[in-house]
Amino acid sequence: MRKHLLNLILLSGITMATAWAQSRTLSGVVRDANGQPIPGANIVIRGTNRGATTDAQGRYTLSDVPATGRVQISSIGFLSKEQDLGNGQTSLDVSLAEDVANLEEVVVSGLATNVKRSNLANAVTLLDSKALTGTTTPTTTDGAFQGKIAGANIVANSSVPGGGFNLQFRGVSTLGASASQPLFIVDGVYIDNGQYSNGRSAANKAAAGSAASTQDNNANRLADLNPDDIETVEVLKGSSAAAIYGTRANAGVVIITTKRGKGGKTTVSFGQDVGISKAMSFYGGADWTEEKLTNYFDKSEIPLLREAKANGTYTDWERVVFGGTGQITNTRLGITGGNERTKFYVNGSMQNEKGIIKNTGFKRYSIRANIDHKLSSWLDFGVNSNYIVSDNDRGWTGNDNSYINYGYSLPYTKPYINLYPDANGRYPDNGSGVGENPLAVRDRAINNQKNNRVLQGFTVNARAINNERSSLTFRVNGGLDYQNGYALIWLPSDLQSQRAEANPGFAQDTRTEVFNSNVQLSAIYTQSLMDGRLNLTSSAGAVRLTKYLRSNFVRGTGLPAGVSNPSRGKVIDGFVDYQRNTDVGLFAQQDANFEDKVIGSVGIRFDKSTLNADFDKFYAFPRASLAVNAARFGDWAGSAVSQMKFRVAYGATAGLPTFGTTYSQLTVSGVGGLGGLVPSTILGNASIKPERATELEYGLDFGLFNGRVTGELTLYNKKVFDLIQPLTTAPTTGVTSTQINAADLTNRGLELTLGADVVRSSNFSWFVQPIFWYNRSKITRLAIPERLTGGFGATFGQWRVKEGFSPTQIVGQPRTDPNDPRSWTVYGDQQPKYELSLMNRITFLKNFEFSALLNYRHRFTVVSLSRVLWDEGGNTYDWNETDDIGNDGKTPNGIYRQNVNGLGDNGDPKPGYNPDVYSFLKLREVALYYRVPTATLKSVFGNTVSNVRFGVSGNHLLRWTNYTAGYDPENSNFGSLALGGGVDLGSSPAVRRMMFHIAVDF
Amino acid sequence: MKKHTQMLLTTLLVGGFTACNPLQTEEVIDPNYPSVGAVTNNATKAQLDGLSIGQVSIARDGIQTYLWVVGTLGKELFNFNGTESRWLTELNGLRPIDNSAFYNGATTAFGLPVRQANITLAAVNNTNSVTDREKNGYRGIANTFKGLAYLYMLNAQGSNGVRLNVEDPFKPSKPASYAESLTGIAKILDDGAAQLDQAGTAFPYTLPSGYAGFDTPAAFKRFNRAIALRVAIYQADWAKAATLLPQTFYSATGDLNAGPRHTFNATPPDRANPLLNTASSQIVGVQQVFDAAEANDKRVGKVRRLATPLTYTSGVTYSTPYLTNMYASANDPVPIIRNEELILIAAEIAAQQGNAAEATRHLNIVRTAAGLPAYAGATTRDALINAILKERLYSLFYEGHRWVDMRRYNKLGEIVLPVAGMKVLERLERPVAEVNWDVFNP
Repeated sequence: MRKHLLNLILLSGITMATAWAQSRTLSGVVRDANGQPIPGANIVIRGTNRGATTDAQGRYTLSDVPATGRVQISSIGFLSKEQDLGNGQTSLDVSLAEDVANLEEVVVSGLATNVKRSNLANAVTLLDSKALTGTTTPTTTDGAFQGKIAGANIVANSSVPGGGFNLQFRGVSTLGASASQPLFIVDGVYIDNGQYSNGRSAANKAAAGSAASTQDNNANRLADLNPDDIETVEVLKGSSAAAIYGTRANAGVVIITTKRGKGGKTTVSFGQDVGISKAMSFYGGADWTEEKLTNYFDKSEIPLLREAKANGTYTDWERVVFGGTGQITNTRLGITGGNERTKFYVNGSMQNEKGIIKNTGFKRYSIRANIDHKLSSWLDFGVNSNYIVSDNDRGWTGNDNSYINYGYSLPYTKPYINLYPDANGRYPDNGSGVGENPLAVRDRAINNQKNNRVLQGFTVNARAINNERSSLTFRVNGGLDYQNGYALIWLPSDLQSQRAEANPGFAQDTRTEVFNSNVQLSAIYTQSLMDGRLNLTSSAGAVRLTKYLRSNFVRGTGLPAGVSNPSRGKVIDGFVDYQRNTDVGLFAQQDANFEDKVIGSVGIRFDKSTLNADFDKFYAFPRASLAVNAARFGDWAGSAVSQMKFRVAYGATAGLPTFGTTYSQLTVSGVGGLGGLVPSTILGNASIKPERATELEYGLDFGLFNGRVTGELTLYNKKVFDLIQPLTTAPTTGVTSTQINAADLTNRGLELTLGADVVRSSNFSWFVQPIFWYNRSKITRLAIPERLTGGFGATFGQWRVKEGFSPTQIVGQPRTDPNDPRSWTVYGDQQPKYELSLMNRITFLKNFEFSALLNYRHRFTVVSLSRVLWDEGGNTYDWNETDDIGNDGKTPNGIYRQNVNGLGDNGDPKPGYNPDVYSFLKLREVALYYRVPTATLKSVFGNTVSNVRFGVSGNHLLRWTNYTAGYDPENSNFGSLALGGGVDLGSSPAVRRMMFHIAVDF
Repeated sequence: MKKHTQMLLTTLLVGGFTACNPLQTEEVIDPNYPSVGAVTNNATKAQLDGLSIGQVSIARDGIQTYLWVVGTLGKELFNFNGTESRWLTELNGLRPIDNSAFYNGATTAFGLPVRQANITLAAVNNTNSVTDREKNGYRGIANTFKGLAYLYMLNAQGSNGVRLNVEDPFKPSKPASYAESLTGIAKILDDGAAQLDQAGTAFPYTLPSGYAGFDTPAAFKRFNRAIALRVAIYQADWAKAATLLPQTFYSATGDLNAGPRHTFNATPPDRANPLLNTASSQIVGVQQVFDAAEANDKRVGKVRRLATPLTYTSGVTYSTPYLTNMYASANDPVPIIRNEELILIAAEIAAQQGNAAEATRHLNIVRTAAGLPAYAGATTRDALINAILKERLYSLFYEGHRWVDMRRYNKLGEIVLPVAGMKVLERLERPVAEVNWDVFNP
């Protein structure tokens, strides 16, 4: 609908009163560079609003063509072309080049307006469905972003299916007290991407006693969105592009547009993926000898070792638990079609991905219907409905304080201990002081999260004025996102770890209800001046957003055997939490376009939110941008330079305080049947303001040789002010902290995207797209004492918030000056020095397509506690070797490392448990597809089947890394924290996925 | 026609817009909890009761970390924590002590009870809804627990001292010296005692069952004076201690276990006994301590001798067959201070004041109860003190005294080191947030 409207706006904008000379007919065929016909291409006579669309064979016919004139031929995914018509010309065949840099795509420029990418003043990353899901089928949408967005730092929290990603655009935009994740908008609906607690870290005591924890290792709820429904993703990375989103846009905005019916013949599309996943690497496997037990462990276990080796029951339990094969199936069935007035897109999908660990997996059932209808020439509407059921078994990895997580017990489990159940299905206890049998947890414990979700959007457009020189459109759009989550944690009471508890058995039923709704009213006025050379678009409107969250759980401990219902426990604990907020915004924007040569825009948004202390105060967020298409001036035309655009943009955004920042609470603590009131150790701040950001972004876009080589270079300077920081008080006062607006920081960086059609011929074409980016963050003001945050204490490394330094800098023990308690050793930065991606797409023999996406992350610092577990347990793969850096050649590495920490003489970290700097190169995606030629299809199926494509693909098939402190340097025990996310602890192996695909269009 | 329809729609739109103004929002009041501000002005009796009950409840905050840390530092017990080797390595000097680690809780957890008391005292001063006697009841309870919390904090920090004035969390006083800190704590307890004297015959509400026998102002004062007595012996002010002793619940003939205790219940908002052994955290008796116990000492029953010793191998290797045996159920109470300690303090006062016979008599009360023969050692002051310290080790095992006792007699060097290379730390480091606050607010 939006595109449809846009066409109208553009058309009305360029409409000119020209002399009409009757009347001839123009016809022809539109093809791509390989000679394949392009259906659905538009042919428009410049200066009029008349045009035609090509049919399935690429043919078009235009009547009433003036004697002289110019036509524009365009199609999504191709560079548009303009051509003068000769006098009396009646046929015109056109070949369109692929729009590899997406110059023709339309992207948002405001809350109600769009702009062609070639006229855009910001570096907005645009991912179409081909870039997103065209190579391989991702489990979740955010997983498909990795390596594709310049300026993004995307880290997977866990390798368990079902998602869990930390997305940071252009450095860090908050130090933890505001939204660290970008705002996601799907077809105009603000959707929720929260991670909701399920009590897992209470069950395994990773964070005992807390009601909600970042260590629950949950999926973020973007996982619910079916990636296959997505037509395009626009990533507004910084404040300059996202300013019109105001108060929620500090971490960037991701605008997702789902597929819509295009009209014409009804097409039924069927797709099926089948695949497997396998562990990428293992970390344990050190052999055990009597000598090792005698010297370093418990020699009384020698008989067990002898027996296991003699019986052949000596088992590498890591490979038993993590060595499995996950099965992936994904089935899609979509129908699109419609007529002039009504268009529809319906798509259903079932995704079922099992993990490498038995009883882990992710299932998603999604059905979507997008319907557009034109009531009259001036009134149309669209509705988008999506119902999703997801079901995620997350398993037991990450931090733990009770040996329940197999990610934690396996490093300590000795291979000579038997863990297999006996003939009656009873699991033996683990030995050597390890408090749980990982196989029993894997097979019997439950960590499941289900979600039922409705996304419902609507748009109504009413055109009050619509003539050749101006148009006025009123629009009402918005929608809701409602989700009802149900999570169950169950640890049966007869598990080894539970039998040791005072009240054995743990069950928790958590319900989370989240509702987001938004409504936007806007008016868009366009006018065409100076004979169509100057086009002005004015827009203004109001936005209102409401969110509520209601979550509650019932936790039961002391469960009778076999009981998983928490309400039947001996001790029952409950918790209820409410959150709600309302935001209101007003916006106005003026866009001007002079002959596509100079494109300018100014806008402002005013926002207020009940999350701010002053709930009724409007904050202003201005923006302005300018783009100059130099190649459209004078002599450039016809030269090797087909595009040369200089652009500069400025904008302001904000991040809201989290709910509850303003409250000083009296909580409840009871004793002896009496309920008492106790102040929270965290003090509320009744004058908290939002975090504000401004960004200046400038750059250069160029295209050479008719768009065969394109480039986009962007520099930005994003300043964030009034960052909310905990003022850590002296804890012996009984107040540990209060949130205050206390810091400023800057993010400066560079993003460079190049694209080249290296070879372009009908039998072989090779497109290559290198992307390079880096970001440098620095805290420029800090009104609180420097502090460490994240991680597990300075021994293993923590994030340091200190003026003049990067907030993602990681420091730790030892102190460089024993007398200065803050003289931490610096171990580097969590943000990489730079990141590099290389996308390759090769089509050959007309119907084969090979694509590969490589992603390299250079020198970033990782906090790992995984190796210390494996070393202490005696199982690290190189435990028995004596060759680690600095080792004396006699001591086993596993012993040696336990006592070497800090920096060596050369300034590099010693191989102990301090943080260290690593790099990796991953083959993120690779695929080979074959498209059955149309002629073959025709001869076999007649006209029934229009398209058949099949292929093989993989995720992370290859990896190179110098990471030695765990399975994979991409890991986060703490989920999506702004600071402190990347901690490797008790993790499971990274996973490679391989799939076979088939897609058929009827 | 079209024009008319458009006008109609526009009217509807504008009308709808003004009917429910979409730009208007309302302040969101905390939907989850009441606010601190609600009790600072004209608190009701129910609110004051709530604050006082809260005070009794959070008196249990931190005892887990405190008892485990102090027990480890004194090498009487270890925490065989399978998922956290720092209990054994860093707290025993095998790796550097960290001022940002979890064991800071042995100091910081006592901040909240102090703040709770200060809020209670302020709320009591600013209301007319209760009588002066009732006010003094609330005050006496608050000051008693405030003094107790400060004493734990000071024990952990030793010569680092504590901040005696924290009413304004943004303007806390600098840490006082150790001696000044003790004086300040004594003053808080004395204030509490004076207030209890003015509190009538009953408290405004019924204290939990753990305070049975201490649930009137007069009886509660005996608990207050027992804590003050501890302070006095830390001050080595034996004359004052001798004066305080009869004001406590000391009884030479009474139950050694008499005294107020923390009660527990696993059902929220109460909490479970935090000292239970679990799969991942087993509190063990140090082997050298219990191997050195005299034959037939009944107090060795505080640990259970296992057939197969427990072995810890993460970061340090150590075996002991003694698993603590004092807490078995989530509802087991934990004593705050017991008559047995008061009897041993009586012995110590006597020894310090040169009254060997009185010292020996008190020693023997404890020894007889433990099934041991009468004390037959030398009766010099030093010999008696050593004998008392030894009885305190077994009598007050897992009650947080060994390390503090040996420190106040400058005998940390005499603590037996279970593993070569271990050290006995003299105090915990000042928590990083405490250090930073003073650096930033000089």
